[in-house]
Amino acid sequence: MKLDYVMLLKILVVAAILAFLGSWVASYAYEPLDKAAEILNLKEVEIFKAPLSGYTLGWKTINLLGYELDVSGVIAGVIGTLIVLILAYALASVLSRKKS
Amino acid sequence: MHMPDGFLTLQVATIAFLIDIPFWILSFKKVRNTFDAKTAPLFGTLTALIFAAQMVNWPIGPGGTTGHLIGSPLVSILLSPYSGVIALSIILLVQALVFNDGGLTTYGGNVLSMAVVGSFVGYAAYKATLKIMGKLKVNEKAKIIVASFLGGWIGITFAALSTGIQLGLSSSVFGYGLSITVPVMTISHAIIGIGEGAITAVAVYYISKVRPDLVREE
Repeated sequence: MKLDYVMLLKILVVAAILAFLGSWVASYAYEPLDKAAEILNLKEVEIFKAPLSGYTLGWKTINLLGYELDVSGVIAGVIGTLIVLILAYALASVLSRKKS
Repeated sequence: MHMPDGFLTLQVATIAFLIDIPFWILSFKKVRNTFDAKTAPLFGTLTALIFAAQMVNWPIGPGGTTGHLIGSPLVSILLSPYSGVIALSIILLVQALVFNDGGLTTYGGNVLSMAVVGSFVGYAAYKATLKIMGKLKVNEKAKIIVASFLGGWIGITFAALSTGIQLGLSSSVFGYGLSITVPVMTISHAIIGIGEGAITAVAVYYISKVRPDLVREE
């Protein structure tokens, strides 16, 4: 398998755009499971407080060209993407070390 | 589809976690034999892409509910179902620990649905479709698009079926039994799955054009 840096860069750019978009529209995330829980008044049990709970740092939104933009949500999304990238790459590198 | 803490009974959560263990062991063994210095960056970037893509929700009809990509069929088609299991296990762990998206006690259940079932069923559907279409006189690219679409669609639908079964078996805490949870989860995600299938097909088709060595047709 060839190592294609251009393709990897394209994938990362798409990931960054998705992290931005996803954070922007995350407040509209309301899945079938959430709806069932709401009907049943079922609350999730919070056994610990995650550092970026709800994909946000908790800052207020800012108004950008007429749109309410959750900057902290965008930052949280990018941080998460970077954490996953580093973890997955590190694990894959360790697993492939003996073949390199 | 992420089940938070408190939605599964301890028994169901434990059994789901125990079912995951052999799949983790098998997946680590398999990728150890196939990963090399060139596969590692691709695996890392694909996993990051899936994480980011899971944050984008799209509406699935009346009631205001939304759905999102799970991505395990895509990773499975491009790398292998074993890579899909590991990629989604990493994503679900980060989502639970850093974002409270999906619980810790339900981690095993979420892995079973989105990582194990999503990867293996999605990949099996992709391969089966290619095999069936192999006998037809159809353009090779069309075969890849149709097979990828079905891989993504069937993968997420069966992942939702797995989640529905786990929730139904946890009716003492979740409130609904199998007769409700299975059809509700499966039907709603069969609709969401059209998006999963379309994204999987577009991504696999694009990669088959720029990196045909990654998309094996046989």
